Amino acid sequence: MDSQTIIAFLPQLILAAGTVGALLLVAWRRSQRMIAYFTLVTLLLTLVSTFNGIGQLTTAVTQLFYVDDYGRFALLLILLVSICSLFLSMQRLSTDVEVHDEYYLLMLLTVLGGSILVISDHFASLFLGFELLSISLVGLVGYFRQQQYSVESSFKYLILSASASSFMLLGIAFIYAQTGTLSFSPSADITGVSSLSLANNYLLPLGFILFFSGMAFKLSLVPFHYWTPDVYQGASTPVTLLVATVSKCAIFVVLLKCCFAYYQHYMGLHEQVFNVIAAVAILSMILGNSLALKQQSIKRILAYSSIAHMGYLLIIVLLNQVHAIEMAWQSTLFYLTTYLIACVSIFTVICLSEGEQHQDVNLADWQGLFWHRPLLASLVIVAVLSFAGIPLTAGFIGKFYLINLAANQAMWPLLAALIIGSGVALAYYLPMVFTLFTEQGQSDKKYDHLLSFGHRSMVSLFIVLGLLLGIFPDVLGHWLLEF
Amino acid sequence: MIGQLSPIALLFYLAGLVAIVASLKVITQKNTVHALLYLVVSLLAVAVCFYLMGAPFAAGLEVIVYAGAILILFVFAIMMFGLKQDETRYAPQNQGLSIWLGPCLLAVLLLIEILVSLDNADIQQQLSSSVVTSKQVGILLYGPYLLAVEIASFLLLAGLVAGYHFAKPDNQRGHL
Repeated sequence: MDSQTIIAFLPQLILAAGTVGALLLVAWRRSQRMIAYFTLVTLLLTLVSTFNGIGQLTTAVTQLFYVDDYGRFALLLILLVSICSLFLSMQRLSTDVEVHDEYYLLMLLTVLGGSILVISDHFASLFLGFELLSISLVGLVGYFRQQQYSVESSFKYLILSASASSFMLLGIAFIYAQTGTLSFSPSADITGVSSLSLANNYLLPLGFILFFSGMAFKLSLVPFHYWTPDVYQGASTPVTLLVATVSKCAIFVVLLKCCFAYYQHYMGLHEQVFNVIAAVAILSMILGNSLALKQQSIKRILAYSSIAHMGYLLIIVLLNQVHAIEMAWQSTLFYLTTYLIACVSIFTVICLSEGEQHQDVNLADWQGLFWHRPLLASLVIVAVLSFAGIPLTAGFIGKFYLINLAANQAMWPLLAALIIGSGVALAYYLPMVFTLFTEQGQSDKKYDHLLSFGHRSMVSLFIVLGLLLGIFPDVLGHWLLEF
Repeated sequence: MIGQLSPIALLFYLAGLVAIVASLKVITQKNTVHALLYLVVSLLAVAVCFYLMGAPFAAGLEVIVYAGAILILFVFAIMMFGLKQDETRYAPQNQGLSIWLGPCLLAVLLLIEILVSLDNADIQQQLSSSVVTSKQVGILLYGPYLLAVEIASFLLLAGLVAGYHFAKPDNQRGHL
């Protein structure tokens, strides 16, 4: 490896070294504070090295990885979210007598898995990153064993993600049987690949659909969405934040990378595959939003809304025009940024309004929140409006990108589903906002622990970010265009 | 149609069939230890499949690692669980040696396959022409796929840490 490769691969190396360092630290001295700050420093160093890398040359690191700016930006998002999640976890974990070393280790490993996924260029590295992400998330989801649903939800996640990976492996095997290579971008010298035509070849599309279904499980798209609400509700809030953001962002980015490479090399998408993915997208948009309507638990609402959001994003996967790839990446990264900001905002509020027992937060618990704690309520309003895609919030611009792409490619059924889905979504997003303003909030419910300075500044930061990206989207849009 | 298949393909499909039948028996058995017997046969059948595809190294690993090490661990774990009432109430009682018949039959089938393939010079020649040796596997693992090996070790670490956390005794007050 020359120096350029090492610099390109530096974020992953720092994360890996940080994991090993954390293990050694545990062996040396067990202290709540030390391990937490060590994790924070590792993530910050990784953040700096990733940020430094943006704008530099794209580099292939062995045949397993291909580091480009899209991957770097996605990693940046993942790191920012995990720092927020770490910040939220620290408050909760520090009240315990037990030292939670495993929690921080698993968190570093989750981020490492995500960082491997976003730059992978090979099915082997994709699978390893995928598994690393799932296994460490299983550990995190069931981490607080004394909680009511924790073991149940981690078991569900474990079994279903194992079956998803086995489907994915079968799909990869079919693709390998047809193309003779595991790399996303096979070099031309492998005989048979370039001459491979899609006509009369049913194994390749079949393999692709199986592979897609494995990914769809992680993105909780409709036929594979059953685990989502239970896991969201069962896991502790900072972990739910990781499941909702790090895992989905990393998986979506690698799915997109893989799909675009596939379209480039095999001349577009098979019609049946296109239909299957389009059907999954439409079902996710409509079912996800409709299922959220009657929910009372806020985490369950968010779970169903995440199903719909991933359905919207699938529109980008269906763009099988090679010339539109840059635009597609720009839209994806913008949408993911807005989605992640909204997720972090709302999960921060959930985390801060949880009681001492960390029981599930229902809509009723937020009644009159605006009058008790205006700062938190404003954050909820910005986040929820951003989810709904109301103008002047970041989510609107993200959705605008998607509608623009879908209209350009004349994907009318998808566009119709997006609009119907967004309409249905208003029926549960707006009541959430109205709840905050109701006057008859239980007056005996007191939020006795006041916000610390750190939490206050974090909340304000996210209010500003959500509005800033909504009013001046070009700040991010122009930057993304340079990739 | 069966007549058109080459002898190797025929043996391969037979071993695959054994693997499928054994795996189905694993999940339909009521007694865990009996199910494990079928699991051993299933893993051995997969090893035979590997061997017939010209990957004796993978076949050897399958036998040593899965059928050998992991299965033994599994048996020990199940024996030490101490299911007590659950075991006696829900599992059928041991009915002599009859439970051995099924797995034995399948295992003997696999043995016959191996003997046939070893005895047949034609098959041996075909197998040795496209063999993937352990040296080739090693060079690949520590050459282009070195990073994959490293990531796999982190994957195992994640599994270990998560498993340790779940298996930790509940009450640890005062022990950090």
